[in-house]
Order: sequence, then C-alpha cells, then structure tokens
Amino acid sequence: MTPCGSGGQDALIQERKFKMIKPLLQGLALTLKYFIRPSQVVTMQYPEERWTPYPRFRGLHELQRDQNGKEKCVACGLCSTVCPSECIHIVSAENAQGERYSEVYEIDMLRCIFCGYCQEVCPEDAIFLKQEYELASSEGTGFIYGKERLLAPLKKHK
Amino acid sequence: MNTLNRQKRDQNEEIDFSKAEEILDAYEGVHGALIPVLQKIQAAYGYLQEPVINLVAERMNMNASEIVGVATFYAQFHLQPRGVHIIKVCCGTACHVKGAPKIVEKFSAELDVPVGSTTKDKLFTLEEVACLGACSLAPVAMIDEDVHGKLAPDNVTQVIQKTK
Amino acid sequence: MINLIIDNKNITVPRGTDIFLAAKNNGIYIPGLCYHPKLSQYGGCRLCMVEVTERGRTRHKFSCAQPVSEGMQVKTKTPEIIKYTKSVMEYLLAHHPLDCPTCDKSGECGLQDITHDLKLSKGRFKTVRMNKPMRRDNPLLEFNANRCILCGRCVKLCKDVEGVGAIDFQNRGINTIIGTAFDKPLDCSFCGGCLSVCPTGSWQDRTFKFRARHWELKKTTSICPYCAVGCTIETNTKDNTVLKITSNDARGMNEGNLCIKGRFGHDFVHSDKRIKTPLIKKNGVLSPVSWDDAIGYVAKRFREIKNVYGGKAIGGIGSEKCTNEDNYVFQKFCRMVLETNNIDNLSNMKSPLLNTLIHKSIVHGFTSTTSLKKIEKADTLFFVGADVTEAHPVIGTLARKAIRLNKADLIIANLRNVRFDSIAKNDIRLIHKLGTQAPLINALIKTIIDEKLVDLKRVEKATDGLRELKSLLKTFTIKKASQITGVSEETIRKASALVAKPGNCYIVCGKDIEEDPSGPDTIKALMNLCALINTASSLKTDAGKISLVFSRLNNNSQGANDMGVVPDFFPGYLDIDDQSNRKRFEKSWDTKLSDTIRKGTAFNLIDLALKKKLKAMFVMGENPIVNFPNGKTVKEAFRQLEFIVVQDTFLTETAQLADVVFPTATFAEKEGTYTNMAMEVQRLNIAIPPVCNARQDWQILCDIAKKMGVTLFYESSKEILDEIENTVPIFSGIYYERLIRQSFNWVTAHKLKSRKYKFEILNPKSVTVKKKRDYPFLLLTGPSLHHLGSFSRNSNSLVSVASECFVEVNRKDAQQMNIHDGDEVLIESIQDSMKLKAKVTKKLPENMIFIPEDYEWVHVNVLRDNVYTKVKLSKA
Repeated sequence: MTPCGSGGQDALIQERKFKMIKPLLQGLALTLKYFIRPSQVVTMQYPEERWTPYPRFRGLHELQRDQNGKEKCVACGLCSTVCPSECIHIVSAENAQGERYSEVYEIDMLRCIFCGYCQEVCPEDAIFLKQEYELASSEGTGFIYGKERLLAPLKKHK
Repeated sequence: MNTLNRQKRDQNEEIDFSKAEEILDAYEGVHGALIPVLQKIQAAYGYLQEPVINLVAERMNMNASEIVGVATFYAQFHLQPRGVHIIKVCCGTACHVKGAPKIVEKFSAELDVPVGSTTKDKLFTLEEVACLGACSLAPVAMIDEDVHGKLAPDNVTQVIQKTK
Repeated sequence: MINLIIDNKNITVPRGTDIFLAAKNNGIYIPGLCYHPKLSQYGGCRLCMVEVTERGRTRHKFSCAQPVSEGMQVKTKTPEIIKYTKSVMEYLLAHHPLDCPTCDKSGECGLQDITHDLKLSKGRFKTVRMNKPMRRDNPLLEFNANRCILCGRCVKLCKDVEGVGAIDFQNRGINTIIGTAFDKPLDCSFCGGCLSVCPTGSWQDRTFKFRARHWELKKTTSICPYCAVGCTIETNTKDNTVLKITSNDARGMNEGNLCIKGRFGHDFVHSDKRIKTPLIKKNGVLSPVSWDDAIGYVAKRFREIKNVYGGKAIGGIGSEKCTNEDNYVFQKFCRMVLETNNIDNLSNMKSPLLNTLIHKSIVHGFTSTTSLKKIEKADTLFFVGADVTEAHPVIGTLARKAIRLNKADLIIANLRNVRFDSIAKNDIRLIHKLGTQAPLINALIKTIIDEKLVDLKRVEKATDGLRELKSLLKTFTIKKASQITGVSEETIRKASALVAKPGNCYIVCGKDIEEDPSGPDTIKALMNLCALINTASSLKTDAGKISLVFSRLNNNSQGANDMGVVPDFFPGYLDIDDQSNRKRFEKSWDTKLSDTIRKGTAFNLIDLALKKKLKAMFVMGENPIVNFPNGKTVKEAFRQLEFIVVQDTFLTETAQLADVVFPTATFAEKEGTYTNMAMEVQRLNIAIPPVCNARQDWQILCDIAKKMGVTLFYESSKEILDEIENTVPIFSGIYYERLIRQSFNWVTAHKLKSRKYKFEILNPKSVTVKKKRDYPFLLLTGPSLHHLGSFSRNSNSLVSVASECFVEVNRKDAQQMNIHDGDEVLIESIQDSMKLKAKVTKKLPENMIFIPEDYEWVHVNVLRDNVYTKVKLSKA
C-alpha cells in the first residue's frame, strides 16, 4: 500500500464528498414523502401482525415421524458431518428392536446458519427446515434444542 | 416343540456309532478324506445325522460347520432322512414344456409332501431333477431305477400305487 | 525378482507375487473385495479383472489369482474392464440392502468405496431384498446375511488364521449363506477376526453397535493391556470415550489379528466399578478423600515407619501390568525414598530363577528373536508346557501362518492334551506324565546325540562338556525315557528328528514349565538342546537356528523385571551388590543409596510379612491375594501388616485390605512403554484424558516422594525413558520418538558378549508326586482365553461370554463319579474347598483336574499350596 496523503488524492476525496450529497438528498426526500403520508405503512406491526413465510423458507428444523409415529431419524450422522457450522450433535444407540436411533439429537441454534444442508443430505427424509422463525429469546441460555423441541408432535399423525 | 426335541434326543440315544467309528478308523490320519468318509457313512446310515457329523468332526479334527458346509454343497449328501423310494421328477426344458410342473404338483398332492422332502411313513422322497436324459419320453419321472415316461397328472396315482 | 509393467509403470516384485498385490504395493488401485493379503486366494468376488499381455497374447485375468511373470504387461483400466467391473458390481448390489445410514461399516466399507469409485448409480437390475434373518446368538458378534457378498474372507480367516473353522459356506447356489452347522449358535474363540476382514457390514460388533460413525472416531495406536504378546491395537475413541478396539494389518507383529480379550475386553476403561477418588480406611471402611490428603497421609505414615523400623520394614510389589516407566519410578521410589530393597514382582516371586536363566539364554544367543513376528518364519514349532491357544492366542495365529506358508511342523509337549488347531502335516503331541518335562527334553537330546542328527564334531569344538553330557546320558536309554515320561519311543524319535531338522525352530517355553518346581532343570535342558543344535549348524547361514521364547503372563511381566523391580538387580539386570552398578545409579539419581540396598535373604515378600519382618506394603497395580499361589497364606501375610498402600484401577481383593487406595489410569489414559515376552519395547499412547480423577502410577509415586521431602520429579513418561536410556546400559539407544514407528528390542540392540557354552549336566530325574489317599486328584491351574486379571473381570463383554469358572474333569473320572457336563462339584484340598461347575473333557490325564486361574473372582489359589496340590472331588 502506498501511503496516502499526497495532494492529488486529497483533491479526489474532496470531489467524491460532493458527489454523495445528491443521492443523500434524494433518499431524505423519499423518507419525507412517507413521513407526510403515514397511512401507507410498509413495516409489519410484528406482535399483532405475523409474516407468513414463503413455502421454501428455511426456519426451525423439525424431525419427522413415519406413518406409525416412529421417528424417521436413524442417527446416520450425515447431517452432523455435512453441517458447515458444526452445530448438530448426535448420540446414536440401539433400540429394543435392534434398530438404530438417535438417543440425543441436539442443534445449537446460536450456531445454526439455516443453510438447509442437513435437510438436503438426509437419506431418510427425517429432517426438514420448517416455517417457524420466532427463535429469539431474552435469555442467553436454552439455545441448544433437543429432541423434545425438534421432534414433530405425535398427534399430527394420528 | 418340546415333544419334538425329546423325540430327537431319543433318536440320538439309539444311534449306533460303531459303524461310523469303523469307517473313521479306516481313514485315521489320512488328509483330505472327508468326502469318502461322508459317502461311506451315508451308505451305512442312509443319511447324515447330526450326532454322526459331530463324531466325524471330533475324530477328523474339523469343525462341524465345515463338514455341513461340504455336505450341503453336494447334492449327493442328505441331512434329512430319505424314503425307501426316491421319486425324481424331471424338470428339464423338454419336460417343463410338456407340463412337468403339473406332474410335480400332482405328486406333491398325492403324497402330501412338499418337493425335497420325505413322506411321514418314510416310503417316498420327492425330488426335482434337472434332466434325466429321456426327453423323448417327456414328461418323465424316475422312481428308484424305473423310468416312467409320458406321464400325465392322471396316471401319477397309478404309478405310485404300482411302486407301493 | 520379476519385472513387469502395470499401467505403463515399470514394477519389480518378488517371484510368486500376484498381480493384485504387486499393483497395490506400487500404488495402483485395482478394485477387489475377496482378496486379503493375510489370507489365501479365493477369487470369489470377480472384481479384480485386468488385461494381461504375455508373449504377444492379450487375455483377461483375475489379478488376485494370477502370479506375475517376466515381461508381463498389465492394464487395469481399459474400457472393457471398467464395463465388466461395473456389471459385476451391479450384480453384487442387486441383493445388497441399501441400509448404509444404519450400517456401522459405512465409511470404511469396501463395497461402498468401489461403488463410489466406479460412479455407479441405479443399476439395470430389479433389486430383490432377501430379508434373511439376523444371526444374533451371542453377545459379541452379529451377522447380517443380507449384506453378505460371500467373499469368504471370514471363513478363511476363521480356518487359516484362527484355526477354528466355526463358520463355513452352507448350502449352495442362491441359498449359500455363511453359517454354522445346523444353525447352532456361534461357538468360537470370538477373536473378532471376521469383523476385521469383512469388506461389507455383514459382521458387526455388538458391543459397539451404532455408537459412532467411522469418520467420527479418533484412532490412537496403542498396545494391548492383556497378555505378554503385546499386540498393536488401535483405540477408537469419540468424545473421550473408548468405543472399540480395532487392529491395523500394517502395524505391529500381530498383523491385525487379535484375541477376544484384545478386541472386546476394553469396556473396563469406562466401568462403573472403577475407583473414582483416593480412599483412606477410616474405622475399617474405605472412604473417599482428596488427593492431597491421601498423599499427605501416606507420606506421613511411611516416614513414621521408616523412622521407627527402618526402610527395610516396607515392602513393595511392582506391577506386571503397569508400564516400564511406572516400574522404573517404583523401584527408584522404593530404593531411594523408602530406602528398602524388599521389592519384587509377582512373576519373579513365582519363578525366582527365571530371570537368571533368561539372561543366560540371551548371552548364549538362544533368545535372539528380534520380534515375535519371526515365529511366522519358523520351520518347526515346539511348544513346551505352553497352552498357546488359551494363554497367547496371537502366537497361535503366527504359528498357524508358519504352518500354512512354510509347512512348519508342530510339536507340543504338555501334561494335558492342549487344544491347538492347525493344518500341520506333522502334529506331534508329547503328552507326558506329571513332572517328567526335564527327562523328556533329555530324551530328545539323547536321541539327537545317539542318532547323530547333528554334526557332533562341530558341537564338541564350540562347546564345553559334551562328553560329560554323553556319559551322563549313557544309561538313560530311550526305552527308559519312554517308560518314565509315558511318551512312546517312536514319538520321541519323530520329535527329535523334527527339532534337529534344518531350518528355524522356535521353542515356546510356557508357564507350566516356568512355574513348576522342576522348571529350572527343564529350562537348562532346553538350553542344552538349543546349544546342541545351534552350534552344530554352520553359522554363516541362518539354517538350523533354534530359538527359545519364554512366555510371560502379563503385558509387562518382562518389563517389570527389566526395570529392576526385583530384589537382586538394579534396572537392566545389573547386580545390586556390585559397587560400580551402585555408583552408576547413585550418580544418576543424585543420591546416596542406603546400606540396606543389597541382596536380601532367600525369602520372598510374603514370607517376610509372615515372619513380621515387614510392617508396611506398597502394592502397585497387582492383586497378590488372588494371583499368588497359596492364597490363605498370602491373606494371612497381609493381615500381619500395619500399613498397606495399593494403587489400582479397581477395588481388588488386595485393595480392599489396604489402608490407602489410589485410583490409577488404564492403558487408554496412559503413555509409556510395555515390553513383551520377546523383549520388544513398544509404546502406547494416550487416547483419552484420565477417567474419574485417576492419575498415572508414576505421578502418584512422585507426589508421595515430594511430600516426603525427596525430589523425584518428571514432566512426562518421555523424561523417565530418557533417564532409563542414560542410566541403564541395555536400554541405551531407546528413544521415545523412535518408538512411534518401531519397537525397540534390547536383546538385538546390544549384542551381549557370547561365551563358550558349557552344557548343564543334569540328572534326568523326574519329580515324583506323593499320592495321598484322601486326596486322589491333582489340581492343575492354567491360563484362560477369556480372562486375565482385574481388567477382564470388569469387562462386561468378556464376562458375558465367559461368566462362570469351571473345573475340567477327565471323561473316565467323570463317568466313574457320575459327573456330567454342568454338574456342580465340590473340590476340597487341605487348605480350602470350593464348588464349581464341571466340564467333562478328554484333554486331561486321569486323576487330574484343571481349573483356569484367571477368573479372578474365583479364588483358585486358596486351594493351592506352593507345590502340586492334591484335592478330592465329589458331586455337590
């Protein structure tokens, strides 16, 4: 890098400063326009009013169940392997029928970037990123979601 | 199931091992003599029984799994008791075209046994074979050494009766 | 050597190599699933097809079954071959269930890899799922026939390597399945070899089942903590938990073979029964305390005892299971800090003369194996008093390799007809009478001399005392020997001819010899035999070389002795009374050794404790209450003591008697070195951090020393090994870093000065055992495949396979007493009695019973006195 501060460059900076004035004024004019006509509100009145996500929106993960209500996840570990932010933690085990299942399935929501790779890689179609997006909390804890939060509720399938 | 097991055990106790011991003595210390030993034992006992196989395993310093592996590979060895008369129904191409499956079905129904097993009275064993080399007589069946050609489902009963 | 071209690459390989291996060793990949370098070829998977151009003709060949020839041109990737391989894979996958997500093999699966390499996707065939039932008839192994591609690797391994043949192909055609006779439960040694060679996920480890994915596991190369073979293992860990043990075919002398203990007996590491904190006995109950308190208390008590009775009053039992570093620090701690020379280890207490004899054998070059791996090059194998199948299973696999590839002959001399399954053409069993081992060996010597099987002139030149030996054996005819030993003359002649035949002969001298009262005599006779044959052979070639391998019990029994945890020697077998040796250690340890550090009396520690000469005992990682003969006396001896400190992983019977117990780390949490029975020093590595507050043994010793005001400080195991390297002559040249790649053998590293061998002149006497009318049976004890020490006892996998101790009874005796398999029998000796389940066997001679001694919860040693134990037997 060359040290700045030479005369020529100073002049250039001066020139650019003036160039930004015009767009600034344009922007402020728009603001003023909406300010004068408050009836046309564009922001959402959040708690009262809720946004409906688009069908392909990637929100909170949901672990799926099959027709019999059994978890689809077989703890193959592909999601935790593919996850770029390494936020999925699985402990696999054997159930009474000798089948593989996830004893622990945890997603660290603070790390998750909702990229949807886990959904894409899942060979059993067991995880989907669903529409839920209200994941904020005023507390610093409780962001590691376990199966109790992620698993699809049973009644859906009855 | 329990009674079956008991029956089996009773059978085991009745087995006379002396013939098998004799055969094994003759092959003492000979390497690779499993097949001739099994052939002779089958000739003496009719089929290869579990206790006899265990004895062969012990004497020949082999595992019973290997012996059963050999015995189940070759069609000439039988692990189940066999009947007095062996019915071999040809299921080769020519016989198949001429309706061998129906013949097999008829035999099976007549004797009340599935293919590959023996009747309760230990009289007949029903088997399917690939080709008996008598395609001109198709469909053909062989009972012991007699060849019965140009069979039809209707005369199956007659053939069985004749053998009895 | 043969030159050939594979894929335009010039390659030189030894004659007889097949194309597959030649390509693999030169970095050319050929797909293949049935081929395995340690097994014989089978040619079952049909994947390794290559195009071979030879003498102007081009043909397609299976590379695993085609040996290389001069000028051969091989192409592995022609379009035709790729097309062929792809269609073979399509056939294999037509029946293969696509359950990779739930298959533990996924990630290291041969089938998966090839599918991926060939970029196969949906095949042309309609897939049919077989839905064959799972074989789940034992606690360790599981077989899923649906995943099986019938490559036959497991069948061959079971037969060729393990010698068992428990599984084989059953049925034929489409119904072929790997199975047992009549679908009976798997009855084998559970070596888990099938698991290690299976290219798909058909064989599964039930103890591991689904607990991690292959790619999540961290593999740490280490050494097996059980027997003295010292197999290289790989500790597979995830989240600081040991999940399974695997083996690497390319590392260690075991070539990827392990036994049940090595492969499945690792779950003791995370056992609930481990001691979690230091314990101090308060009001007769061991209660948890902090490390500082426990160490402070021990230091205080030791100081008191030392001040009142002198250091001599403290005894120390070193460990055959701890590392060399632990043992070195232990003897240093005892000699320098406690100022006592009353230290010993159990193997030396059981057979006190063995160290001297082994040393003699090394000096004369009879024990010159660089590695146990050399056994696989043997032409004759001679197991004397060794139950290899039970005690050292992996030596058995090496021996079977020699038998399979070298057509080695086998001789087994034993009291019992021990099991050793092999395909040896000459499998000679010298089943001798009790106490006649020495005469039997002398009979072999006599035959060799009489029949001039070796060049006696050469022997006479190279040794002393051949004439005396001849004259001594003059009256000892083969006929007489046959009468004494109970072995037929013909068998003795045959065995002598095999021992004396040219080629490498390995003698494995077992525990039955070493711990027998006549053991030293037998070993001397064996050395005579070695001298006779070795000196007769021309030394230019290696032919005619005979080697003695002394079997040891535990993973580091050899190391405990090497490290000087014996009363007679400093580390490295340096005489303790020798002033120069004393100076050497005083200089190294920067201390003045107390005058009490000199050879003691002939009594062992137990005797000393009984005589009340000892006031305190420091036991490191041993359980003498159970593992030393004459259990009652040992217990009595421990009761005499005022203060007992035990370092152990589990609360063993000895630890329960202790005043202070320190929890110690296991092999997975430790680093250091173990020395196996062929004097190979091998390194183990830390796989996980210490579980439940445990510490390494040497750290505890250093902490106590510090509290007692003596500087004994090491940063790591490496520092201890460096000190050993600097101080102990036989270990000079051992470097911690180098041990990662290569083991160190102190016998070969230092050619010890060889002197002219003088024959030991021994009267070929047999030990007579007086019979007692009330106690007609003789009790034999011995090793067991499934158990060894407190580790196996706390391994659920091993206990699930071998849960109950048993007593073997001869078939004839059993018939007379109407005892059947599984009946409970009462065994009574003068000392004690116990009830065990009977196992009727033909292996035993009449009037003898056999109890495995390593089921630690069954205290067989309470029945035993110091010599042969007479017992009586009755149906309970």
